[in-house]
Amino acid sequence: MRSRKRQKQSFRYLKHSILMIQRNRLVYTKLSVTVVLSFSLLLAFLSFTDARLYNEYKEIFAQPREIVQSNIYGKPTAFRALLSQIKKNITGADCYGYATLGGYCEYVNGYVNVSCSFLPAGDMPVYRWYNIDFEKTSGLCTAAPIGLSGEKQDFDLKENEVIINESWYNALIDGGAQSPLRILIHFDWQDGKSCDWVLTAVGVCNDTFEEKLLLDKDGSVYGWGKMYLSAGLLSREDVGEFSTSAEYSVWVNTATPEKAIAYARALGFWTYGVSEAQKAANDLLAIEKANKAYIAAVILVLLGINLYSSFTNALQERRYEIGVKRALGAGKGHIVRQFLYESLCVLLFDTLLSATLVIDLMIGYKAYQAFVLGKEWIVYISPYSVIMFLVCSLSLSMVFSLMFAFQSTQVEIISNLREE
Amino acid sequence: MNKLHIKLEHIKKSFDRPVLSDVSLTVTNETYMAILGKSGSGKSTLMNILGLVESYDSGSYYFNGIKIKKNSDYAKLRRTQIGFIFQSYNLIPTLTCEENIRLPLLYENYKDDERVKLLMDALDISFLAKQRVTTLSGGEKQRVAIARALVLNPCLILADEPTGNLDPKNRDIIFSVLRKEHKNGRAVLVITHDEITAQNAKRRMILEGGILREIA
Repeated sequence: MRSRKRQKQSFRYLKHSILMIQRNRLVYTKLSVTVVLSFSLLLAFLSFTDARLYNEYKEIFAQPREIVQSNIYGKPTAFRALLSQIKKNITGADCYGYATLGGYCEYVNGYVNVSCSFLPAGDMPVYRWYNIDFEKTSGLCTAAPIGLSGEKQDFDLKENEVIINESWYNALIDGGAQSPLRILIHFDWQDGKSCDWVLTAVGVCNDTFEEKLLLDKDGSVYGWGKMYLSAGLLSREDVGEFSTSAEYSVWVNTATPEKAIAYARALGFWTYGVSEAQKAANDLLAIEKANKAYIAAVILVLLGINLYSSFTNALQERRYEIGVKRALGAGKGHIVRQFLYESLCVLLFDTLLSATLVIDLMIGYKAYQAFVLGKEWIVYISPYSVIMFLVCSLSLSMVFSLMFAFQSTQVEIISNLREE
Repeated sequence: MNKLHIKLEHIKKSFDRPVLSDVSLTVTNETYMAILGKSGSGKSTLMNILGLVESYDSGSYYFNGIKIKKNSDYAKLRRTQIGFIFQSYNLIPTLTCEENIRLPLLYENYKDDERVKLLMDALDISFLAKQRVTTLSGGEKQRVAIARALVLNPCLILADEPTGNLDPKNRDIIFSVLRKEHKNGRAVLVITHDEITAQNAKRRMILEGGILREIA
């Protein structure tokens, strides 16, 4: 019964507070301008910092941390040793190695430099971040290992088959080549020997940043073509000095990437571990996070001073009302409650308004990046920043609401009345 | 009506100079008193002390047996036992007439629509219910202030120059209301510097040199 009475009383106070907000619109509008600007500044700082960091590091964090890539030039022994050590010592590791060699191919009016990767038959762990996207094009592709979502895929090229990149394929078609596409690849060895293979294109993969053929105004091509060939070709007699001219790559997918990195480095490989890159990024983010917290603290202090002055001004305009209410018998508790409700309502509204403003601003910035600069910019705010903003805005709201409410009861009734 | 017994003994109050030097006074339900005095003589200060909105420097003050301590807040007593009518009305300008009248009910968590309607009818201000007080005349404002002072049935009415700014017609309305409320058992203390206004009271006292004395 008593709690119901209290609920009714609280509801009446809330109703009265909302009425007083409506009736003091001008005072609260002036206050809200400061609050919304202050909160928006804080939220914009937090969210734009987050979005900047997110967009900077999103690719690193999108990669699976289990992946290690190691490369070595011209050392087939080290290549074989690493493959065998990983298979032997790292339980459950998924290990895949291939060789890459530069060659050149005949084109309609010249030659095309080509990077050739010799892929072993069987299961091949191809990962999206590796950025090879095989497609069926014009009925060429037979293996079609599409969908690079990190799952193993069958990749079984025969010795006379090859997959080429899109820009090269387009250049060949534009140059009048007919299906089936026959490609002559030529290798020169250091001992002066050379070899030529004639292969049939059976699939097309996407271009990468480094490997893309570009068409010049005069119809000639420049840049690099990419070719995926069967590792079975390496057992042919005419491979010459291939073993000391090729670059060897080993890809490992393991729950303990640190071990794979250690083995690879011990054998002299250049190694890139996603886990290491993520750790380095995390370290940088921790520094950025700390900096963000310091700057947010400074902004918070400045906002606090700003809000203090705004609340004091708002209170100054309500002293007479407080004096009258106190003279009529309102206790300090009544006044505190009224002003607490009022300021909380206003600050809650202002917080929502600030959030809406900043979200709109971020969407506008995203549109600017997309349509003016042609860049993809993702709107992102971390849970840490959301919590930080909520803690800051709610604590500022609570502190200043309470201060506002308590200040309202501190002046003697009669002096408030006299001031009118 | 609640029983009322107020006793002030040797009350002193100074600001830059002594305002009340030695004031002793007893107020009961039967009291209808006018306190006269020149401007600055301390009448309003005495009224504020009696109305528990201002503290005193020394002396003793008992309100229905409760010792009123210096610098303590007696909001509940002020709300339930005292109806204050100010010379400058002290209405809240952002509220309507009815909202001003209902204000004391909010603090007592009490909803008495009947009482509000009765008072507004009696004071002939029902037609002003939804009007902002800033748009009212002095007489209308004072009637709204009286309705607000009476809404919680106080046993003491303190009126500080209630007719000071009013024309004779409105002054008569105010005095007839005060007389009626006194007949209903409420103590009425009116502060004035106007001899004619003071004639309405049963007792007349004058505050001079900080001392309160009866006028024969």
